[in-house]
Amino acid sequence: MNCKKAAQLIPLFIEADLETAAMQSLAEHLEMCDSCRSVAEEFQASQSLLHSVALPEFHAAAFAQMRNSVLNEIARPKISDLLHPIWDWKTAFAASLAMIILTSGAVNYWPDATENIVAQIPGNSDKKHEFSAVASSKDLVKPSSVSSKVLKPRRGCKNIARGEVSASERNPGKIGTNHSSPERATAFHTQIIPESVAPSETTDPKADLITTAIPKPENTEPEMLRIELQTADPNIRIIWFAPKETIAANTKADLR
Amino acid sequence: MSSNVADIALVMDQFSQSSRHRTQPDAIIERARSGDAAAFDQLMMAHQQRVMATAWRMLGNREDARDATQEVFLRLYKHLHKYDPQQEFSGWLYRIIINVCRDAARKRKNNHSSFEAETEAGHLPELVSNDNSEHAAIKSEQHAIVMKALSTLTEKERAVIVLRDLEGLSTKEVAQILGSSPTTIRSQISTARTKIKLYRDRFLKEGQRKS
Repeated sequence: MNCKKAAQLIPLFIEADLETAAMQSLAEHLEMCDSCRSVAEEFQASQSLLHSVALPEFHAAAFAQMRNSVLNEIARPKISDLLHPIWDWKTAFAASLAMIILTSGAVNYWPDATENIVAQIPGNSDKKHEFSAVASSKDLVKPSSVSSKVLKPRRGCKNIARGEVSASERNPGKIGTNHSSPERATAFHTQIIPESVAPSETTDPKADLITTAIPKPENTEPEMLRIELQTADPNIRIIWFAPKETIAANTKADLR
Repeated sequence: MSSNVADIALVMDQFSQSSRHRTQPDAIIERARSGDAAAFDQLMMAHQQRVMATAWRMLGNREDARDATQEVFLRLYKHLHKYDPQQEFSGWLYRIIINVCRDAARKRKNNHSSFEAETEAGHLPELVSNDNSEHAAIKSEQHAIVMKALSTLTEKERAVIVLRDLEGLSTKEVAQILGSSPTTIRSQISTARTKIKLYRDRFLKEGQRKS
């Protein structure tokens, strides 16, 4: 063993932390090497110093006080202990899962409920509810504000006169709405008719006008009128298309 | 020199004997595990000195050691149902002590100054009150050197030195308690002892320069 290796092992040698063979080998080296022996003696002195430190005196009263504190702490009931018989991690997991399912269900259900409520509120600018708002005749303006005019060429309707099938004719429910499919349009009509224009429920002359708001799909191509009805709510405007002859006949009947 | 080597061999035997701690009677532990407060009190009385001493060596001051001892027994009670009677109780208890002391040192983050605080706070005369004044002064100075030297060690090195050199456990036992390999523990022991020796050497040189 050389001095470099001995220097590495001396800190362990002084407290016999080496294997027997290494202890023996280093002991032989220390017999021969004064320098390494000197280092080993310094380490031994350092260890003696370490062992010389006495423990402070801990009073019995301090121990008694400490034990009492521990026993009091142990005896004190805790919420977790009270819940322990019924509350373990499985119960907690099941409860958490149930909460998540209930919350997600409520969130999914809530928008529909909100729509039903909002639909009853006059002034809602959402186009989806525009025609539902018509159901309340209170929102309608005076008959004088009802305008009927010959359609100007507009997007989606300009080819009617030329005999082409327009988007609004293919899909009558699209008038003033965002409905895109005939199925939805049909659903819209079947919904609005009984609500909005039941003649027995209202004497408002506009009710007749509203009944004409339902375009009747025809194979013929009559001249169409665009009719706009402004409600009290500036955000709600009722627009529909009707054959010119029907409007003329109704207007004459009203004037009489 | 041969006598020195022989001394070392003797020390080796002494340490191997002192590392075998008395095991706690299983009956008391069993009763404590079943919730018997009186049995747990007996268990605390049997181990309080060792727990307090180890905590004091780890933390360096009395107040922290007292708090740590209380926390050790609370954790002991809480986890007593996990204790495996096949393993040695004292080793299991040492693991709790070391963990609590580490937590306490990290929480307070003043563990380095704690060692010096005890030395400078006037507690030392209590240690040596029965000695004559000259001997007491020497003891006091040695104590200050050791405490300051320990404060230069890292947390792991201090735990290793406390368990191996001051509590007298074997390297294998220390490795089991700290969850390391014996090789790692030997390396840490070597580093820690070298640091303590270097601190002592520096202190002696400064003392010679002043005189």
